[in-house]
Amino acid sequence: MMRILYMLYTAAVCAALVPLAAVTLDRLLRRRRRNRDRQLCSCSIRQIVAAQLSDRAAEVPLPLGRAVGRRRLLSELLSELVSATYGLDTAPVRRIVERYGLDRWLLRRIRFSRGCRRARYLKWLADLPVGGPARDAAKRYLADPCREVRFCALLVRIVAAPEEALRAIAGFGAPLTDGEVAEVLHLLRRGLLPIAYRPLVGASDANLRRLGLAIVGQFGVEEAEPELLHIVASDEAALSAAALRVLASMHRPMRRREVIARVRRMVPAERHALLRLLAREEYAPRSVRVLLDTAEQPYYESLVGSYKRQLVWR
Amino acid sequence: MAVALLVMALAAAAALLWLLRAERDCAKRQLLRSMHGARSGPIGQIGLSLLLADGISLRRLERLLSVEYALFEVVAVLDAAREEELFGMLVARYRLIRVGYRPTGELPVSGVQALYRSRKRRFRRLVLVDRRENGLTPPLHAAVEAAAYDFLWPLRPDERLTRGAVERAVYALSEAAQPPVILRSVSGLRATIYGREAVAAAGGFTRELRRRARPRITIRDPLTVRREEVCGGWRSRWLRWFGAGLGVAVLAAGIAAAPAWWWAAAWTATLLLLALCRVRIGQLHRACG
Amino acid sequence: MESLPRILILSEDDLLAELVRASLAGIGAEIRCVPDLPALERLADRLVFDLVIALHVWPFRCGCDILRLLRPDRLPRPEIYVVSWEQSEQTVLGLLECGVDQYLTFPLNLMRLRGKVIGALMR
Repeated sequence: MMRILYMLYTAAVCAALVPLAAVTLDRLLRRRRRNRDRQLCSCSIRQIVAAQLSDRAAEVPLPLGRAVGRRRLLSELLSELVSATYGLDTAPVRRIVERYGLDRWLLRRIRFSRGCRRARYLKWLADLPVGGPARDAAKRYLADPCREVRFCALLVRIVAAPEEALRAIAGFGAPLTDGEVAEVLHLLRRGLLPIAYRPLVGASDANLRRLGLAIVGQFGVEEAEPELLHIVASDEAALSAAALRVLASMHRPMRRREVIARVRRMVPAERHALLRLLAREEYAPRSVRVLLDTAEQPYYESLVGSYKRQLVWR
Repeated sequence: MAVALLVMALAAAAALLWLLRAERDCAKRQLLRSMHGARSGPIGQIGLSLLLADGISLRRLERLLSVEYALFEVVAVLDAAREEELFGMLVARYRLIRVGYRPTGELPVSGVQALYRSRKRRFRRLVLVDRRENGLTPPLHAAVEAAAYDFLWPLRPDERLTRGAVERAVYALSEAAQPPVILRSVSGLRATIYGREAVAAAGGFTRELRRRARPRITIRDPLTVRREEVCGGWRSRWLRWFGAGLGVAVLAAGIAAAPAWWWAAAWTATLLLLALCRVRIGQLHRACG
Repeated sequence: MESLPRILILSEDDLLAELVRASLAGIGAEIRCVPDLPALERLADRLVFDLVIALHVWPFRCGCDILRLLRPDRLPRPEIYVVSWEQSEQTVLGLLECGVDQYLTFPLNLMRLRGKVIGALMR
């Protein structure tokens, strides 16, 4: 009996060893091929960029097409290239995607992977100029249990239909984290989304308001001050605090009724954090005196003083 | 026999679980690397102050100031009287000037002589505290008083940041539903990042704070590793050869002592699995930086 | 015979360096790439550059005197462009204050960069 148990155990361990050894060996070989792959990537980038800059209609034969694991390398390369640039002709990239079947390959990888690996393939799919059917096939991942997958599927959806982006973000089903908002802003900087902040900061959905605040803060839109003050006065603590931080980062006056009322409702830890932000943003003590109680005045003055040159008399 | 089988099975299961977690963590790090939004600016206005009370050198500060996250600073505590040469080099290199210092009262501080910041905007992320060591209060307290951000990261002398550590730490902090008191990394050299208010409330970086503070985030991302200057690189090589030798010795001993061939086969398979898991985890750490 | 103008690209990221190099192909300049400051120092000791494009902000913030390396006394002063992901106003002001001539952000319009570089080399 013990012998059989041992043999079964050994068989199970060997069954785990085989794929593990295969993966380890593959990564080892990939690491050895790294220099060669890097050179092929460099040559391929030159050809892709030359085709984009010259509006060349001809097919681009890529050196990277000869590499082992070319579709993974190409997907990663094109994703990085597209993320780092804007305003270029996407036709050469689209031809590469069609020629090497990157969209079909990505959908297969997405189907057979899980978690962050799946999210990464979805991110690549969002970056590449793939056709509508490929993007539609990614819709099912909006309901994936992994949050990263759902967010990357949202990116795919936003890029596929920018006119429906706001509806997609509002329907995400969970509050967007600051990192996720930053990623959506990146799409905006690439010109894939409109910059209109007004419908966002005035929206009823918290995610849209969060995105609107990020746009206002990023581009320093001072005209949005009334809308920001409205959010500061609202009951949603997190959004209200975020709006206050955006106002401070834009150096807007702090002696507003809404700001005073909000600061009065803050717990001491939050107030100290706000004071540190105001000191970093170089607000003079007298401009924020109305926000401080008597115990906090010396605290704020000590913060401001640490940014000022001390004249040492000898 | 049954106990030996159980031990082997538990060891194999633990190794596979560790490997699965490492694969998941590596996949997350690779996903974060492909996200460019986080590189463009501060994530949710989350700022990080790196605190150094020991092991300060020009090279180390150069590396730390190379972090590209916007809301980040390095607060170094130094005794200018004892380390006059280093202090002079820092003042000259980073164009430091003496600025006003008044304790904020968050923590008990003693011995602080002066605070220095740079007159050049590009070096404003370095803050230097000149403090005489008197044994009354820890030097990190002086660093906390001078720090400008809400999260504090004390760095030990033998630690260095892994590539992209600050951005990944900030990302982890931003994912929390409410600001955590502590973020702990249980990989690498087990870095801990503290919420400033919690440190002030606890009276310092206490063991109690590290163990019991809530809410907390635990990540398996190695944010810090050992500095090469401290160990010279030989230590990791020596450890690797020692580990390999030990593994072979254990394998040989097990086979020699095996009561039967099926026992030896199970023993060999288990050790091979453990070794392969270790190699694969090393690959993942190298691939993910 | 007039030598070609020289452009130096400093970037730890091979892909971004190659991207910028590819966008400047055919403008009649010799383009070199270096991955780090020691390599830049070795090259700057031997050659004088007309334009330097740094794809990171950290060389200007870490304390290494990169500007002195690139602009030694009594030699022609190259223009310095920095291209980075950072959007912060303080970052940009800090770089301009220390002598950087142009600051561009990613995502980058390669045509715009090419136009600026051609304009700089013609000056």
